[in-house]
Amino acid sequence: MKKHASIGENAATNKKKPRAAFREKIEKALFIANVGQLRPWEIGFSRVYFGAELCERLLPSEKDLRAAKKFCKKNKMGFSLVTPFLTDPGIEKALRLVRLLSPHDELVVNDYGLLPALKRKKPGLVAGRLLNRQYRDPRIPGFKGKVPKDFFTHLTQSHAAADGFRQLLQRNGFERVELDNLPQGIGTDLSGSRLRGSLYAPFTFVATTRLCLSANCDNISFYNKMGIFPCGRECQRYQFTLSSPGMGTLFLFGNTVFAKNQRLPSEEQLLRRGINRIVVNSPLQLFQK
Amino acid sequence: MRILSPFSNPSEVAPLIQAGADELYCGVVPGEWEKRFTFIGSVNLRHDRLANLPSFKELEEAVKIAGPHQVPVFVAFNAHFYSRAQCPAVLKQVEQALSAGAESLIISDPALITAVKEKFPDAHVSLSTAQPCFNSQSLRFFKRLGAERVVLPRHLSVQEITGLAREAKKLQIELECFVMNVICPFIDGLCTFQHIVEPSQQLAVQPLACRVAYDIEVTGSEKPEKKAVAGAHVRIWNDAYSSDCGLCALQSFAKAGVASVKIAGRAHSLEKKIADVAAVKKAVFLAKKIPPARFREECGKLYFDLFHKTCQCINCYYPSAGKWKQ
Repeated sequence: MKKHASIGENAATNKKKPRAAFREKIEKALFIANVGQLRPWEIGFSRVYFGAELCERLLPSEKDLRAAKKFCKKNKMGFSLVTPFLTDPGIEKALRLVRLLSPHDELVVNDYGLLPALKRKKPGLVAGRLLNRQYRDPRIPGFKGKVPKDFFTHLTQSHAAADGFRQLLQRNGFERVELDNLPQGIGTDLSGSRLRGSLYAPFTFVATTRLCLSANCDNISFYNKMGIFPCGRECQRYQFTLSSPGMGTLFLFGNTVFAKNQRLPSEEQLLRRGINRIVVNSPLQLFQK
Repeated sequence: MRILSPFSNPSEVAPLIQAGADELYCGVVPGEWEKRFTFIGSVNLRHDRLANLPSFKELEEAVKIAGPHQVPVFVAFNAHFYSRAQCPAVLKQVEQALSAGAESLIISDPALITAVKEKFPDAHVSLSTAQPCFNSQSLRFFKRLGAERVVLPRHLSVQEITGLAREAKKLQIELECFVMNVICPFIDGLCTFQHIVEPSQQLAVQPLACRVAYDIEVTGSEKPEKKAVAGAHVRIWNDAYSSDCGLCALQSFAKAGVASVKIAGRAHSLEKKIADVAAVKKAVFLAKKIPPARFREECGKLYFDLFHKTCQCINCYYPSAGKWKQ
């Protein structure tokens, strides 16, 4: 098997096949925001991530959630509802969606506030990328050799690499934890824990805000104004590529800055670290059209 | 409502208390930590030497000065998370901070809160803004974990804070809100850009990623003139440096029962810190005495005196509290 394979590349095209024991275990999930986006993608994915990870205003309707679940059931795909960080009204909205989940579905939690609000009968709990902290600044690979080794190693870790945090997640019923495909390397090793990992690719989350740069971006009356204002979902109409010599290329989708890393570790490397799922998160995770 | 001021040297403690600070906070980055993890990997969220005390000896000195004035000293241990290699060293530092007389520990890592509460059950914990708490249920979660105070995220409206304050009262948990300096474009705990503001071995200082003047390409099906407006909007933070204020919200905070208001800027000069504390002190006093419209006017004057310009929406912590309401 190639050391690095591009995201979405069909395993069948690889000249050398991975060992069967590894090949069978990696699950591929696709992160979408609308059931209509499934059609061209359904082959090769066995799970759907559906919902909003970074903005509660983009949480789907109950009707859309039912439709997505129906699609997954029909196509024998796993279903994971993704929820973002939440205000009080957002918690209410998220809970209305959570009530529609079955015990075999998953709930990706990105806000600790959702935990006390969940009833006893819970779906499988997944600690999302916002709970599992990582260092995602795209400049970090350039630190190698320029900072102490201990520190560089720390920069490849995630919160889930620390025993105390793993215990906290397990005490709260989490079975899985999500990670970004860091360009400086993935230091997190979950193989000795009961938690399993998912790796998001190719877009790594870098920073998010409620002072949304996309909100009202084309409205001249908002010139030089910033705040938590109502928006016209401008994120659905505009996307921004930000580039600079020092930072490289970043992407502003909605309220969030992403970087892109197309190079995946091999399946074998991932499985050795207890990471047995890849979540493909093209910009489809945001666009509801 | 108490005023929480930053300090970065024991010599600042007395003048800040004299100016009106009711509480003080700081960070400590000892030499051995710096050697292993540099200031980029600071044990707290300030990554510059100027913003931190170099050892717990200075903390002890500061506590000795503040103690007779009944002014508590808070110490930040609010890195986003501590890895397995860092945890023992952090717990040792927590012990040193408590021995030096720190009144409260500002922590963001929930696993560290648990560890601290196990080892030092009487330690007072403030949940750092770096662990964003946007809803009542999160207050409940972190109260159960052991937090006695929650520093709310910068990105909440006054109305949202008022709602959280009602819940906080029921839970008997204190709330702390930002009121001066350093509005971050991104949510503290949900921003993973590094602050490379102190040189480290061969790594030179670099600009803050949120303030870089990026080349911006706008994609989408809208007309070019609309895209041009959108592209300009995205550059909004480039020139909006550090003249940030939330004084107008103080009346609402007092009414809601917010326990403490925080001034950011540990690395600022003592003169600036004193001016900030004095301005907040005056605003807290006026908040009780005059009606809202006049209060906002007075806050405008205080802002002008501090920053030598009139306030703008981009520098306002709580736009919905005042004239920027949409």
